[in-house]
Amino acid sequence: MDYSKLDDRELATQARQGREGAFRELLTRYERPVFSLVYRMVRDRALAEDLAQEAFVRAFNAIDSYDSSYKFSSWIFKIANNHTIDHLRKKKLDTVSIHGSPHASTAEEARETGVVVESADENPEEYVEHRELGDEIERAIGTLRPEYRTVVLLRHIEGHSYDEISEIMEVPLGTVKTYLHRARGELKETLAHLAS
Amino acid sequence: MERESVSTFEPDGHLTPESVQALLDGALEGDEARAARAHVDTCARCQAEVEGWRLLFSELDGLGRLEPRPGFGDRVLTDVKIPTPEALPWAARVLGWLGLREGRRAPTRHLGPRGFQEYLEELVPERQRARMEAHLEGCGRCDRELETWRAGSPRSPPSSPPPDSPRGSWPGSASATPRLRP
Repeated sequence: MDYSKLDDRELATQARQGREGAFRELLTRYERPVFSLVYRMVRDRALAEDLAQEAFVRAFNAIDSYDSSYKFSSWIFKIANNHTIDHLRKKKLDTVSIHGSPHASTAEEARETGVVVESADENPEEYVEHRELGDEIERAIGTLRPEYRTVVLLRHIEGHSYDEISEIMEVPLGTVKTYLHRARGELKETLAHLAS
Repeated sequence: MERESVSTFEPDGHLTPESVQALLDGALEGDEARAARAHVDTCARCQAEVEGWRLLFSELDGLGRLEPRPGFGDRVLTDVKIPTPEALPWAARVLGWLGLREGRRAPTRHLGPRGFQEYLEELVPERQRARMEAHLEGCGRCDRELETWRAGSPRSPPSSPPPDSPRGSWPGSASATPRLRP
């Protein structure tokens, strides 16, 4: 069977019936988007791989609970986002300390309380992360609180509508709009400071 | 924090920042969208505001997706309980008799030479190490192999590796993909 021709709902049905190929096709479609979201949330490549892997395992082991009246992408992103947020809460890492205190109230304060890693002694993993997440816009995203980061990433990278984001994050539509507005405002301010 | 309805325009007649963003998001509809666009066409201040937000949106929309290391899918499926295919009910009965009715796991992958090396040299991340140790607890073959490695030099493989060892290291170990160098 050519699983690449099936839509997500059909793949989920095949997966419930024990078709390993269906699981693999779902992975092919969603491993990059899910990993991207998680990586930009935690900004640690090895940790992001572990969390993304655990999210997929949870989802696939609970494939019977997937309600096909919702989009599969919303379901898998919800699981990945919740798992990542749970991890961040446990570690009490609201934002990455390298980019400033999570309690900073302005972009300038965040910048002043952060640490810039430009050491030539970076290990290869840090080098890859710095290269991948080191440009201004990525660093600015790293200063956002987790829920603001999620809405920005889901809207601009994954192209989800406000309604889909509301479903994924399990918050009201108005809250999504507020989060987006505030997140973008903070990004604009942070980037203005970085540019200056 | 949440408002039931948001006005498109400020009291001074200009678009609210939320409305500008909603306009760019394509989230304004009908008369609201028409009124906002008509205003932007004639208001230099709101045009500049729209342009400023458009630049930010463009930066954000241009962010690419990042990729996990090769073999990510295999590592996921190692821990997934794939349901028994329903097309073969007799298979389900056989598996039930064998105590495997609840599902099958993807085939177990044993540690390879590089995996043993990295484990002994403590080169694997903590979570990977925990999974390796969980495997070693339940796999007599790998446990015995590990003891062979411990007895010899950590850098030299045993004289005859197991015939059916999977190629390469433990899925997900640090060296499953070559590290990038600056």
